[in-house]
Amino acid sequence: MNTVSILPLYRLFLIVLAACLVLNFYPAALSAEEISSPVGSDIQTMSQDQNVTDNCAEAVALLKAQNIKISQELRKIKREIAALKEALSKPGPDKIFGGIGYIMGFLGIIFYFLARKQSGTHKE
Amino acid sequence: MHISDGVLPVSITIGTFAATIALTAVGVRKTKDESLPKVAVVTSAFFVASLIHLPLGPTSVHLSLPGLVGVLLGPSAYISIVLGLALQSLLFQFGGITALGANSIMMGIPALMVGWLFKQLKGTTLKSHAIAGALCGFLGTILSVGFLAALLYTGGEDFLGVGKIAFVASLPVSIIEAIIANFTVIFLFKVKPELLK
Repeated sequence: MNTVSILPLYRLFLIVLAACLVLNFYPAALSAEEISSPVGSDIQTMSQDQNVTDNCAEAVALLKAQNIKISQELRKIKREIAALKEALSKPGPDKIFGGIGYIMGFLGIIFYFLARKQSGTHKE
Repeated sequence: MHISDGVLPVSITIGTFAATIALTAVGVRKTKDESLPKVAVVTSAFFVASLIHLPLGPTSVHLSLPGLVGVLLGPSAYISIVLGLALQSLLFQFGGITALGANSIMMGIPALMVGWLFKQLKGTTLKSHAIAGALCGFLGTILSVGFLAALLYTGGEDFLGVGKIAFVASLPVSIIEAIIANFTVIFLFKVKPELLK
C-alpha cells in the first residue's frame, strides 16, 4: 500500500532531478558557445585557409575593425562602472530603514526601562 | 550643509563636543518620559529628511529641518539632532564623526532657539500657530547657516564670504522648510494640538 502511494512521488522526484540537471548544464553550454563566438574566431579560420593568409592587408583591416569594436565595448563598460560607482555612493533603502530602526530601537529601549520603573513590575 | 572631518581646528572640535555633551544632558533632563515616542518619530523624520534632494539649477540641495525639530520638540530638540546626525555620519557618510560636535552645534542650537521662539509666538489661534510655524521653519535653516559660517571662520575661512554663499544656497531650502513647517503645524493643530504644547 505504502509503495504504491510513494511510487508517483518517486517518479516526480526523478523528473524534477532530470529538469534540474538539464537546467544546470544548459547555461554552461550557452556560455561556451558565447565564448567561442567573439573576436579572434575570424582570425583562426583565416589562418587555416591558405588563400586568405597571404592577404595581409585584409587581416590588418579585420584587426582594425576588431579594435574599434573592442574600444567601443570598453567605453560602454567604463560608463557602466561610473554609473555603478554613483549608485553605490548613494545610501540605499537598507541604510535608511536601518537608521530609522536604530532610532526607534534606541529610544524604545529607554522607554521600556522607564515604563518598567514606573509600573514597578521589576520588583517581584 | 555638513562640516567634514579635519576642517576645524582641534580646540574647536573638542569645545563643540563638550558643549554638545552638556546640551544633550540638559535635553535629557528636560525631556518628559511620555514624550520619548514623539522624540523618536521626529528624529526619524530629521534623519531621513537629508536624503530628500531638491534640484536647484546645476546642483541640488537637501532638506535639513532643524526648524521643524525645534518647533515640535522644544527643549528636547538637541537630543534628536545629535542622534540623527550621529546616524547620518555613520550610515550615509554625511559629515565626519569627529565633526559631530560642531555639526550638532550648527543644527541643534538653532533648533533650540526656534523652539523657544515658537513658544513665544504661537498664541492660541490657528492663524498665529501657522505664522509662527512658518517663521520658525525659515529661521531654523537661516540660523544654522550663520552657525556654519561662524564655525568655518574658526577654521580660517572668510566669515562673510562663506556666509553669503551658504545663505544664497540655503534660501530656497529655507522657504521650502517654512512651507513644510507651516503645513505640519496647521495639520497638528487641527488633529492633535497637544503635540504643539
